[in-house]
Amino acid sequence: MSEINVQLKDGTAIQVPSSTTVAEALKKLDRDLAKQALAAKINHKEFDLATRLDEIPDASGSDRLPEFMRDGALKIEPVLPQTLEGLDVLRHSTAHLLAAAVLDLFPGTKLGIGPALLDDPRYGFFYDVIAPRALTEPIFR
Amino acid sequence: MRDIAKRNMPYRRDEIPKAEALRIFNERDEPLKYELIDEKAGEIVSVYYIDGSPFIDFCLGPHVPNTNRLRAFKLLSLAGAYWKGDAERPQMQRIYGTAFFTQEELDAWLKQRAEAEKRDHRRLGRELDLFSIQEQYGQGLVFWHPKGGIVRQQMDDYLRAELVKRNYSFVYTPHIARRELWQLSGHEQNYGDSMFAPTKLEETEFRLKPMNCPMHIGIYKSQQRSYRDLPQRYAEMGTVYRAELSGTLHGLMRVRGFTVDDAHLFCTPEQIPREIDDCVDFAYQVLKTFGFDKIKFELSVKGSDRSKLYLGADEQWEEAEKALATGLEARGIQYERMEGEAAFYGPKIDFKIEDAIGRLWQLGTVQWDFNLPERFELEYIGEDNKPHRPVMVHRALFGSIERFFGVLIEHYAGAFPIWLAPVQVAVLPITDRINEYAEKVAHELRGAGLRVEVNGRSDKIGAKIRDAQLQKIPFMLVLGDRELQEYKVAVRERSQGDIGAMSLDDFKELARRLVETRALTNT
Repeated sequence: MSEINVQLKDGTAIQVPSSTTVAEALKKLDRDLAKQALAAKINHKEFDLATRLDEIPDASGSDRLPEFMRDGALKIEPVLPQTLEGLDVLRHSTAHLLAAAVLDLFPGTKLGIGPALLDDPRYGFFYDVIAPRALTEPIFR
Repeated sequence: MRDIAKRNMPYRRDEIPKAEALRIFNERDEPLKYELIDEKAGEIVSVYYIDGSPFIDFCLGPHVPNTNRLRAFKLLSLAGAYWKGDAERPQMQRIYGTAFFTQEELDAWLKQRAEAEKRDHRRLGRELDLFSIQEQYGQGLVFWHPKGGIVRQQMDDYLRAELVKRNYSFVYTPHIARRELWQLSGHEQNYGDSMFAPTKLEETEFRLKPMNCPMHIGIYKSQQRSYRDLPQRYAEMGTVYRAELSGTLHGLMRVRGFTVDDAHLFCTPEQIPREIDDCVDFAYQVLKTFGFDKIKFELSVKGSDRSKLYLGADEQWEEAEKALATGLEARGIQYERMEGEAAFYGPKIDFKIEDAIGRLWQLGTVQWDFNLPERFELEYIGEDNKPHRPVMVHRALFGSIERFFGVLIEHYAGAFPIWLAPVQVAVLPITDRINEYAEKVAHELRGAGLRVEVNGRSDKIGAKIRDAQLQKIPFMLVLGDRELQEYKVAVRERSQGDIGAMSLDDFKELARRLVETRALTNT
């Protein structure tokens, strides 16, 4: 099984099997950061913590490795609470949670879109739905 | 939601071929998602599940690993929405909420939101009878009621007096102009979507003005200018019209017709530093007068990205950016340099103010323009007897007067400083037999230039005070038999309460001093 060299921004690095998940790799690098992380950025792209390193495009096929990784290290940066990126993930996930709850309570609901909002002073996310009957505010309990 | 969050279900991502994704969403009878995938997805579709729920979404992520990472969230409101914002498509319900990392953050935010709601200018505008926007006349069009009109007039008078001191000239220009004019200015090509459609008279097409600049240029171009005539500083409370979509309209903050405290400066390159310095000083002074102590200045410059298209030579830009920066630095003003944020036609300074509850509002601008002088071939004859291009600067301090008014209402929570207050003094007789004295007091105060209302109805005095308090009137004069006998007034101030009895002359002096100094508090 092939190994991948994983490196934090501060230079801390380890060698892990390529089937390791982002979460496990982070945990080996820094337990504290791993605990806080909501997701992770690898090569400036965001991934779930459950993503396996060999699922990350260009991370496994070594001849297709981008320049920055050819020194052997996959640079990994946790997406943390109290950052805008973290808030984006948190709110987006909460929008999904909302949609899941609406489907539970009102089977047959049709879903539209449900993005996070970061610039709106009034709201943090929304989900557009068509429920079998019109929703009213008491569902907010 | 809380149940699912507590059950700690994992967010699971899967990558499946597009055909399979379409099959799944078809099976689940999710026609809107199906449409999205059909339109937007590539060969491989990223989908998310939450385990234990029928929920599946077409989504790139990323997401938190488990639902128990979501601890501090709240649903806020329901609104109508159309699929893809298209009124022809199915109507949906939009469920709004918010989320934070901790309960403390959520609580603090909810408190701030409640405070903002209390200050909402649309609500206060109705309660204080300041303005209205009426569906019957058209969305985004503002009616200034008598009380709002007084505030606007005070803002106007103050600004005009300052413009005179700073040697601006006042101009008035038409609200419509020939279509060809807007093509020459480039507005039709660059800004056409925000302009109302042309209207035709005989064989000529006209369009409503979205900006005042070409109009002021018309005055500049009406005769040959010599370097001795410069700078020309044209100021106008210029009303403009923008074809904003109904979904984007919001109270006074975003409207379809508004008035800009606009000015355009035409000067020689040598004159620029002085003009910029004056603009910055002017903005600073005006915003301070309205009680905005925290002003954020931003200098938007070209930046290093050479792929963007900019008008004007590099040296011109360098000089312009330097002039703006120097204008700020000379006054010891801290500013943020916004690389690559400049408009294609020149660098600018933006003013943002922080209001009473910490929100930032973008107001006025000092904007350099390399574009219009070229397009309109503006000239002046220099000392060398040869034609030269003047420098043109757009400048507004309030920005939109409507929007500034909205910001003021929220900043003051409707309790305007006395110089702006629609009614400055409420005279409140305790019984009917004092009404005559109340009228006399009011008459004398009006003679001193104060805006006074008498509440001569036969309500209890407590109710009269409550009324005046709700109207946020700076001073209430409570008059009874004793005040009548001693020819005095018992003074209540809206936030301090009772401040004692004084002679009418003393009160008059107090009120006049506060008005004349544009005091922000009545102490």
